[in-house]
Amino acid sequence: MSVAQFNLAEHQRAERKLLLTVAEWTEGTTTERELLGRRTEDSSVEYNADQSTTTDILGINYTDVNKTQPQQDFDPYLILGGSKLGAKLDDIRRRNALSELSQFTLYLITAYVGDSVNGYRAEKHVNCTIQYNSLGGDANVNMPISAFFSNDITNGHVDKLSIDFVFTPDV
Amino acid sequence: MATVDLNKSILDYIYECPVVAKDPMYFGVAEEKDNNNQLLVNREQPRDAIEFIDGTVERVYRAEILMYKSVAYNPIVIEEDSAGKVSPSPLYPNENIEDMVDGQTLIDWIKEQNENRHFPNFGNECIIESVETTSNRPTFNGVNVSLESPLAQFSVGLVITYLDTSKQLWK
Repeated sequence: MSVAQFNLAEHQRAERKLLLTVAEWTEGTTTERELLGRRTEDSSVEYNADQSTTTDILGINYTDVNKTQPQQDFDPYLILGGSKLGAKLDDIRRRNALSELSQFTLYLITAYVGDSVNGYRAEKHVNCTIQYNSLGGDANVNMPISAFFSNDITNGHVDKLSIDFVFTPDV
Repeated sequence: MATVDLNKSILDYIYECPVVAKDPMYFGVAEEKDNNNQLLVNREQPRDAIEFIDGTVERVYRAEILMYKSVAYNPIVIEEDSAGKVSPSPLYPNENIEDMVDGQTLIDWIKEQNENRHFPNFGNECIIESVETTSNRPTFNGVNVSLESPLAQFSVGLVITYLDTSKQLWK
C-alpha cells in the first residue's frame, strides 16, 4: 500500500487544529464523544518509547524500539459547562471508581491527510485509559488529564470532523 | 455567515446602562462637552489572542469609555471661622464628587451584567467569557482648562474576553 501524502501545499505547515484526539465511551446505551483539548494551548502525543541499544566491538550502535506507550496530557483541562467527559471523570473521581477510567476508546485523527470528500485518516485505539491528575487551580477549576493510548489500533478514516463522524476501518 | 460588528455590539450593550443612555455617546472622536461620552477602542496586547489546539482562539477586546464633566472650584469644607469651627461648604454635596457617580454607576452595572452573564452579542461564532472593567473606580484623567468651561475627563476601562470559534474545524 502506498503511503498517503499530506493534504498540504509544498512547505505549508500543518496547523495544530488538524491533529484531533477524540474520546468515546458508552453511557448506558448511548455512545458519547468529546474532542479533547478545549482551552489547551499545547499538547502532544508522547510515545514513551522503550529502547535498548547494543554496541558492537567496532563501536557501532544498534538500537531497538521494544514498545511504545503513547500518552497525551491535557493541561489545563478546565471544568466547563456542557462537557460530558468532564462530568463523567468527575463522577468517577468522587466515587473513586478507578476501573471505569479504562473504558475509553480514543481516536487520533490526522486531518492533514485526507479531505472532506474522501474522509480524514484516523486511528482507533480501544480500551484506553483517561486519568485525572489533579483538581483545583487559580481562577478556574482545572482537572488536568492524561490519556493513555492502548496501541490496540484499528486504522481507518472518519467521514467528517464532527461529533457524529463515522469511522470506517481500512480494508 | 454575516460578520458581527463588535464595536456596534459594544455600543448597543453599554447603551443598556441608564447612565450611558441619558447622555450623547460618541465613537472614536468626540466633542469635549459637559456630559458627552466617548467610546475608544484600544489596541490588542501581545497575549490578547491565545490559540488553543482545537483551533479556537481566546481574544480580548479592550475599550475605554471616556466621560466629560464640567468642574467646579468649590471647596468641600469652608475654612474655619473665628471660633475655630470648620463647616461643610454651602454648595455641598460637591459637583466634582457627583461627577464620579456616572462612571461608578457604569462600573457597577457592568459588574452586575457579568455576574448575570448578560453579555454583548458577538454572533454565533464567539462565546463571551466575561465583561469586566479594568478598575473598581472611574479613573480621573485630568481637567482640560483650555476650554471656555473647564472639563474633567473620567474613564472606565472595558475588557471583554471571548472565545472565537470561527476557525475551529470540529463542529
